[in-house]
Order: sequence, then structure tokens, then C-alpha cells
Amino acid sequence: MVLIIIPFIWLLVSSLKNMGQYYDTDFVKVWFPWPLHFENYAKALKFVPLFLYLWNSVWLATAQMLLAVFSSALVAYGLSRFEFRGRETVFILIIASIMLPTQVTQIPLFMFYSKIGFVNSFKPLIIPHLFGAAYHIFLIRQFMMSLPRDLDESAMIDGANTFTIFSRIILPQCKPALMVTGLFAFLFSWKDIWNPLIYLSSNKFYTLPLGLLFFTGPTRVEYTVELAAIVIALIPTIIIYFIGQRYLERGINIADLK
Amino acid sequence: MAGKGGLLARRNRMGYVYILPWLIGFIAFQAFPIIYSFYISLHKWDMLTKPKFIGWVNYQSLLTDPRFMISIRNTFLFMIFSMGLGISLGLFIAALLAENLKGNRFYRTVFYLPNLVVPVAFGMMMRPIFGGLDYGLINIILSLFGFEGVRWLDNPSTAIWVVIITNFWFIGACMIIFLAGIKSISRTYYEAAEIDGAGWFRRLFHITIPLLGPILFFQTITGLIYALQIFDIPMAMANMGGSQHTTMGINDSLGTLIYYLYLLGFRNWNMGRASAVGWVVFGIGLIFTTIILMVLRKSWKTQETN
Repeated sequence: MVLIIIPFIWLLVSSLKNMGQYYDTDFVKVWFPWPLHFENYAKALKFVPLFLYLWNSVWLATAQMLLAVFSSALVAYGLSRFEFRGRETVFILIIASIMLPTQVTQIPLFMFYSKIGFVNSFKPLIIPHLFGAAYHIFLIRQFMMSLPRDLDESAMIDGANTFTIFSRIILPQCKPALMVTGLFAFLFSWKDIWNPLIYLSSNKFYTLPLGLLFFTGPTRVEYTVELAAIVIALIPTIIIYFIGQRYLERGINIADLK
Repeated sequence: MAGKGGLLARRNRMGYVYILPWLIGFIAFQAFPIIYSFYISLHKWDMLTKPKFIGWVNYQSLLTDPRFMISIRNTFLFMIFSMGLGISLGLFIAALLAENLKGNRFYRTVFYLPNLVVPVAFGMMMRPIFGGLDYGLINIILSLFGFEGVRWLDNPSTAIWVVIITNFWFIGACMIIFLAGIKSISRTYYEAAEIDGAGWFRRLFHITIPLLGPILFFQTITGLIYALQIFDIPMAMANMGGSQHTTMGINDSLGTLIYYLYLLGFRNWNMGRASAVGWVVFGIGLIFTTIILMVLRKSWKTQETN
């Protein structure tokens, strides 16, 4: 319990030190450094456009989330409301594809994107989300299977086409599942470092994790300033947590594998 | 009637339209690239000149490559400890938390918190905990007891342990799923066991673990794939400010398979060799998943016959 909190407190304390204090070895002084160097925070913001990175991260994660959830819901709808040949096979294939390590596919994809000139843009980070993600499809499908069919069957008799049924009847009922999947999708892209690392090379495109990883200033930056930057980067996380907490717990019940 | 049946059949065929996006995505972003990366792995290719067919040379050279050896060793160590200890510890804590419901929510929150932190940031913030010779929290505590400081991150034999230990901060994700699973187990089992005088550990091993079966299995497989792909925490710990690094920490001590794949492919532009590493990762994942599935099927069969 305490162990989990310690790194966070240590980070906060260390981010207020100068380098001399950082290398201090006195057990009391390391916890209560004096004087406190609040200017580390100002320096961190001056050296690196953290707010730009934050903005990039936020809109990218939001775009990826919306696309991934919508496309996954479409596929989940196909899997849960239509009886066609090969449906079970497709479902098993989707589950199995969760187990593929994604990085294995990245070299050919990178070559392809660089050939069509998409490298160093957000396009390679967005395009894959148009096609649904296996894990999200699985979650939404489980939820859709549990929905009663009366409503969409009566709409069918009234002559509504399948897409109308999807958008007017199924999607509104799926709201809890969509919120949960959305949260997972958002967190997934929020935490992702692999794709930004290989596709985004200009400073102005950096996401927050990438900006932290490549933290360098015009002059050699004190390490404690870097720690201050990490503290700043943690703030949105806490906000996400308070927004998403409710859905997170509900999501786990949907993901229940029984 | 026949008309209605035809209509229904036609309607059902619409299902293909809805799954089409995934199918296209699967072929374009997974199936085809994996096969194509095998083709690349048999070539020498730097993306500037034409690919040259060299057969199995990329794979053979990996066998004598010390950096690859460190990477594969580190990945396996990480896999064994993060998955083995991580899952058992996660289960243990979940079982503890399920018992007393008071303050449950608060504990859950705290345990889950590190999972919301960007792994890169978390890796970077763990660096000052381990520190170097005489600074860093752990070394300061060691010196209190009169031990000498250790350069945790510089040494190939200790560095991976830093990553393994750091990873324990993420067990909340696994714990929270176990917790939900335990809660869905009917309380009557536990009550009956308690009347029979079964202790806490007996209840854990005879009720909780068997009944968690599918969840345990799912966690094992996802844990395995996660461990196989680990690179962000080591990279955050190795990266001493700047994008120009070409080693995986000092003396490559923090190397993992995917980290090495990244360096080979996207720093040295040695696409053939990087793809060979990718196929090693793919192969390991495939072998382990198959083994787990086989074990599982066997245990299901014995359960049925019982």
C-alpha cells in the first residue's frame, strides 16, 4: 500500500530539488529538501512545449477513441445480430488476433506508410482505428448479446433497415459498453509510445509520452527539471481517473468472461 | 412463408457487410504484414537500396549476437517474474480485498492508480528511486544498514530486476479483474466452506482459484503477450535524455526483444534483421499460447470426466 505511493511522493519531493540536493545522501534531508526549487516547473515549461504535447496527446487519443469505438460497434453488431455462415469462425479469429504481438507487423507497415509519404504525420496513427479493434469488438459484442431482441425485431417488422436499427436502437442501448470501451481505447492511445515513436519525428507532432522520453532542452537540462515535467504530465492522468472511474468498474463486469 | 425466409436470409447476409471493416483491417494490418515481414527477414534491406536475398543469415546472426542474447534473456526473465509473481500476487491481493469490504474502494483506487500513468513517465520516475552509487532512495536505505550502493541500471545482471520490480506497480490492473471475478462467485460456496472449517488458504485454493478458471486463463495469455512486448519501461529507464541513443541502457543492460527490434529497425535501418527478431517474438508467442490452450483443454476434459 505505502509502497505504491512512495514513488509518487519521491517524485514530487525530487522535482523540487536542485542537482546538489538530488545527489544528497542524508536520509532526512532527501525527504525534506530545503530550499524548495519551484522554478524547476517554470523551467520545464520553458524548455519543452509541454502544453503542445499535451494537446497532441489529447486530441489524438480522442480521435482514436471515437473511431475505434464506432468501427468496433459496427463489427460487434454484425456478429451479434446476424446469423451468417462462418460467424463463429470470424469470432474465434477476432479473439485469436488479440494474441498477436502488434510490433511484429510494424516493419512492413512502416515501409508501406513511408512509401506513400505518411510517415511523420498523424495518419498512420489514425488509419488503423477505422477497422475496429479486436478487444473492443469482443467487449461490445458481449454486451450486445445480452440485450433483448424485442425492440430491434419490431423495428425490423416495421421495415427499418439494418443501419437504422443499429444507430437508433442498438447504439443507445449499448451506451454503458461504449463508454467503457471508449475509456479503454482512450487510455490505450494515451499510454502508447510505440506508434508515436516510429511515426512522429517532428517536435511539433510529439505526444506527451514521446515528449517526456525525448526530454531535452536547448542547454543541458537538470534532471530534476525533467522530474518536474513528469509531475506536470501526471496531472491529466488524475483528471481522467476521476472522470472514468465509474465506467472502469462497470467495464470489468462486462468483460466478465463467464 | 418462403418469401419471408428469403428476406431473412438476405437480411442475415448483411452481417458480412458489418464485419467487413474488421476483416479488411485484419488482412491489411495483421495477416499480410506478418507474412510480409517473414519475407523481409530473409533479405538484407536498409530501405534505401534494393533488398538482397540472403536466406536464413539474419536468423543465424542473431544466435551469435550478444545484444540479442541479453534481450532474449531479459524478456524471458521478465516474462517469468512479471507473469508468474504478478498474477499470483494480484490474485492474492484481490482475495484479501474481497474478504473485507470496508475501505475496499479506497484500496482499489490506490492499487489501480499506477495503471493510469503513462508507462514512459512511470519508468522515468522510478529511475531516481534506484539511482546510482550512493544516491537514489534504495541506495540511501541500503547505506543506512551499512551496505554499499549499487549501480542498479548500469549492470546487465541487475538492470532487468529494476524493470521487473517496477512492473509490480502495475498489478492493480490484473487485481481489479480478479476482484470482479471473485465477486461473481456465489457466496454460498464460501459459507459452506467456512462451516466445514476451511481456512483462508484452503478457500483460496479450493474455491477461488478453480472457479476463476477462465479469467485466470485470460490473464495468463494477456500477461504473456504483454511481457513479450515489454519495451517502454526499459526504454524510459535507459534513455538518458535525447533521441540519439543507440544502446539499450549502459552495456545494453536494459535490452528486451521489442526494444532491440526497434533499435535494429528504426535506428540502424536494418529491416531484415529487425523482422527476424519480430518473427522470433511471434514464434515464442505462438508456442506459449498453444501450450496454454493444450493444457487448458486437457484440464477441461478431466473436469468433464470427473
